[in-house]
Amino acid sequence: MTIDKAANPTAKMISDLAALEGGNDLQKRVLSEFGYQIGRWVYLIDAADDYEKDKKSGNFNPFIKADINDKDYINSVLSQSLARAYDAYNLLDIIDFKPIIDNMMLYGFPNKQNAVLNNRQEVKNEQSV
Amino acid sequence: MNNPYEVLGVSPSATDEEIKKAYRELAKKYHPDNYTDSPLADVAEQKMKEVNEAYDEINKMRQKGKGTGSQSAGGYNSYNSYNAQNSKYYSVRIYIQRNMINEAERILNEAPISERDAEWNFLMGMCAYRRGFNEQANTYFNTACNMDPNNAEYRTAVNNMNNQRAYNYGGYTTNPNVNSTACSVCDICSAIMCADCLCSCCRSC
Repeated sequence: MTIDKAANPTAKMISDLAALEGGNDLQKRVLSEFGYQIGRWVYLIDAADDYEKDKKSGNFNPFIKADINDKDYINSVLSQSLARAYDAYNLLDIIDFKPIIDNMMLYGFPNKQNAVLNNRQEVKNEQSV
Repeated sequence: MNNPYEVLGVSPSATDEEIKKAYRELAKKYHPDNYTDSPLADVAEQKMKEVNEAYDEINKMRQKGKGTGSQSAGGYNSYNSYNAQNSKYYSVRIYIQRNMINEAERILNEAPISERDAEWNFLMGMCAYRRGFNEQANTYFNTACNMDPNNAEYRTAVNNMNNQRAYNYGGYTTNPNVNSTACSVCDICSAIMCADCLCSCCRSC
């Protein structure tokens, strides 16, 4: 069971949900990609967060299963999903709340990712885009 | 086409400098290099085309005369312009282009182990990437690159993977080893600039 396969169900679910919001074929494709990578990120960040807990309890964890405990490696896995999501996001013509979502993609998500991997508090009062 | 000013996100009364800046930012965002192996490459290409057309239109309207300075998006060495005719995996490439990944993989999986060369690995990587399987894609692309280090197509794919895995898009960087509550050089510099601006505001003109 690879990381990719473990994340797939969650990723696919968010992908299909996001695509429903698309008004035309093109939007559906972009939202599909965006949703997939965000869903994948959510699944994996959760797995990273539960790493220690799952190790003790013996619960399934895709990183433990794949014999991965290198924080830098986990960071790049998560980053790549965020990057793909952001590239897709840039192809949407967002009008409402665009600055807020921009902020989330460039600051909110990475901030959360760093916090989880470092078991730290997130930076409050972040910069804005 | 749509209102070219709207496409660039500027007001019709924007200065030439503002227009150029807006164009550059959008060209950077939609640049084909960002989408080389992406399933959304054609979408980005379409957006790039719209931006180029809008920029050309505005310059024409403002009577810029010879040379609009807009970049041609067609000059890059894209996956789509690869000379696929020579490849024994021509049909696989077509399937991938059409996002028919099951069909592409079916053909690839038929290849005997001894024939699984660099191109085979690269195409397996493309299939994995289109499925969203980033880790598998990363492995395949790196294998292809190791088997054929001089191949630009495989090298580009690996570079893309590495860029994405660094997530340096202008916001926070994702780095589990850095305490991001500390001041970066950017924070210090902006603080100095802010202080300077404030001081200038207080000085009497």
